[in-house]
Amino acid sequence: MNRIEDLFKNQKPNDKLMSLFITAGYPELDATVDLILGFENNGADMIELGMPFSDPLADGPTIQYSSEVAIKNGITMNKIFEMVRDVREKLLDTNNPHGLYESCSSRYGVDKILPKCG
Amino acid sequence: MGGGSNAIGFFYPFINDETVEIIGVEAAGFGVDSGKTAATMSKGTPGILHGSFSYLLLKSDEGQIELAHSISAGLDYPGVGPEHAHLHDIGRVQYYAVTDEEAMDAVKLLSKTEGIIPALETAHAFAWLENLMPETSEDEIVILNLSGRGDKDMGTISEFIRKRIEDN
Repeated sequence: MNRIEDLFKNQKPNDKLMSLFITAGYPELDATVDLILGFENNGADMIELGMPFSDPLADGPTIQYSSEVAIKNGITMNKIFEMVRDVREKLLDTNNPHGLYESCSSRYGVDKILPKCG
Repeated sequence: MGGGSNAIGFFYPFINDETVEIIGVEAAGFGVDSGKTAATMSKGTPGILHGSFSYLLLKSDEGQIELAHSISAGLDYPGVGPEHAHLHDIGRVQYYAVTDEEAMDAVKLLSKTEGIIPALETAHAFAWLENLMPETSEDEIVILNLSGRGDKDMGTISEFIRKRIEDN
């Protein structure tokens, strides 16, 4: 069973879960680390990391803008995966799924991405 | 060809007629390998954009989309309709690329010789005739899709000519 399934399974009746989204690498990767730790310290149960894509047309202006800035500042999927690996050691038990566009995953290779999402 | 919607409409009635050779001409911009191009098929990198899997201009192995360049606004697009990618892969249609310069020369030639000012998009197809016509015989017929008129491009054309004069 994965961590997300555990989270819902262990949810107490009438208890709420908090899931937050953040564009990874906005404005820079260090800020994402601080935000992840800050979210967790303030009760986030799940944090979704948005992988910036050059043409995020399924998203609104906020994610479009933050993605553009993150890419301009040199973010890559590899850098995000590395950061997640490091930050995971500092987290207690928060989950972090990755949200990404198929354009990126089809080039990167889904079979290469999944092992890095732990 | 940019996204290829006009072209596919023109190709469609001929696709099953194997006596007809079909050619698509895309925009090379400054050149297919210049980094400032819109020649998706000539570059030939598969990827996903706007919900379809086709040939794209991609920046990296992580699937980020490259900004396209063509002197022609209608061709300035980093993808192409997936039907064209398929026709390319099965070899039914041959795709070639023509640069901004070559397209602009074609505008001038057609305007002077025929009094027809072609759109910059169409001018790419005209420019390819220079390569195609020497290979054709007297009993072959060439049909060209004159997809648009160049009145709309007068600003771009005069700016291009002005720069060309300045550079020389």
